[in-house]
Amino acid sequence: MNSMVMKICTYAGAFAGTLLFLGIWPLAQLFPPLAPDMPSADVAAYFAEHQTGIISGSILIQASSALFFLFAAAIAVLLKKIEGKSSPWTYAFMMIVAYGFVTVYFSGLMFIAAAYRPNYSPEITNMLADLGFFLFVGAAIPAFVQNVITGAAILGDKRAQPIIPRWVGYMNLWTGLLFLPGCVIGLFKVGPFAWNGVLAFWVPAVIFGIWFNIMIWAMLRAINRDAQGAD
Amino acid sequence: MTKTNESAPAKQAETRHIPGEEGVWVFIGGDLIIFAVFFITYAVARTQEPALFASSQAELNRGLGLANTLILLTSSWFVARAVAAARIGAPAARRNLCFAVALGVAFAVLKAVEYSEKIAAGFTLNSNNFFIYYYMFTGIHLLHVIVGLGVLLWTITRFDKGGKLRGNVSAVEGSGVFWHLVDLLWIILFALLYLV
Repeated sequence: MNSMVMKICTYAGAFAGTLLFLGIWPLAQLFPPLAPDMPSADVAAYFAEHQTGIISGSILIQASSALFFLFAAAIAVLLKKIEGKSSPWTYAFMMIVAYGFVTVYFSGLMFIAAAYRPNYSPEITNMLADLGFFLFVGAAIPAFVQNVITGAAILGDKRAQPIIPRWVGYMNLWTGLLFLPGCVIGLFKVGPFAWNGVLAFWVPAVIFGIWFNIMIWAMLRAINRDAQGAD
Repeated sequence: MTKTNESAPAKQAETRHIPGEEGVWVFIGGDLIIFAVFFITYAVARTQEPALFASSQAELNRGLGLANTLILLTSSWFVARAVAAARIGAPAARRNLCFAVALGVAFAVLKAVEYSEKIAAGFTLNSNNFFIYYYMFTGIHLLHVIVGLGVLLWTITRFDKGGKLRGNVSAVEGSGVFWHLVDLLWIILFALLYLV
């Protein structure tokens, strides 16, 4: 394992997380998402008013999506090390990540398209914005499977000193479970399970932040232990 | 939790008498926190529409809810017996787990009956705010039941045909702890959605 490159990849994740947050929150001001039951005219007015912010914020969102792959690659290397020669969890993880983080890219694309031409009829702007929010919050679906797989791989580590602590494995399972309410956002326009609701948006958003930081900690720890020649 | 001493985790758990391995409790604690958020969300929503929540609540079938409570409590009792038996290496552990699984399946079947009864009566997911909570919370709980059943079935495979446990007893304890969590959450849900 090349610890220098592994560390770069891990920190790229932290960088990506920062970009994503800066993009969606202070720049685009789409955090928290606009209310799903907001009238089309209001949505269109919001996108026209915040045009520059939304477009530049969305560019950061798209950039973060690409940078997350470095982070995912570092996780995959550790999962591969845990699993050894036959590594189905690692391969499944890599494939799910490959489309899971693409949703983030496309959500940025939808926001750009919605803001690009303020002379669109409001219904079109609204639909593009809807797609953007569905992609952004609906990333919960691949994220759910991705976390369960990560957890399963970590818990499958038979070493006396696991590469990643077992409790982090359980935490991954828990995180996956919490993403589930994000899967049903299409059914609701108001309430806790709508895309701006407590359970479909706020809980997964906070948990994602916690998960992210714990993973970075566990990865750096594993990389350092590897560099010291632990198994 | 993150100590890097050399002793094996399983051994640690035994000497300190924490049922299951420590990591399981990260999951349990996390789940309890989230359900606490669920319950607070519900309580806040209820204060905003007290009449609607009361009238919708009256539409629920308390008998079925109570039956399911008793079913889960009994299955939890079987799991507790299974853990006790596994600790002393008694062959009854496997049989008790099978009873617990059978009761868990009964819970899921009753839940399906209850859902279809409600849907037939015209109460669906978006009927009103109460039913959003009713379907989503009981649905997420049902998902826990299904996961728990999977965990219990996996635990059953840890025993050989004679009922002898292969490997560590903490696997049985861990799945037992999860099943008790499923039971505990249902009791709170039952009280909150059907009774209070």
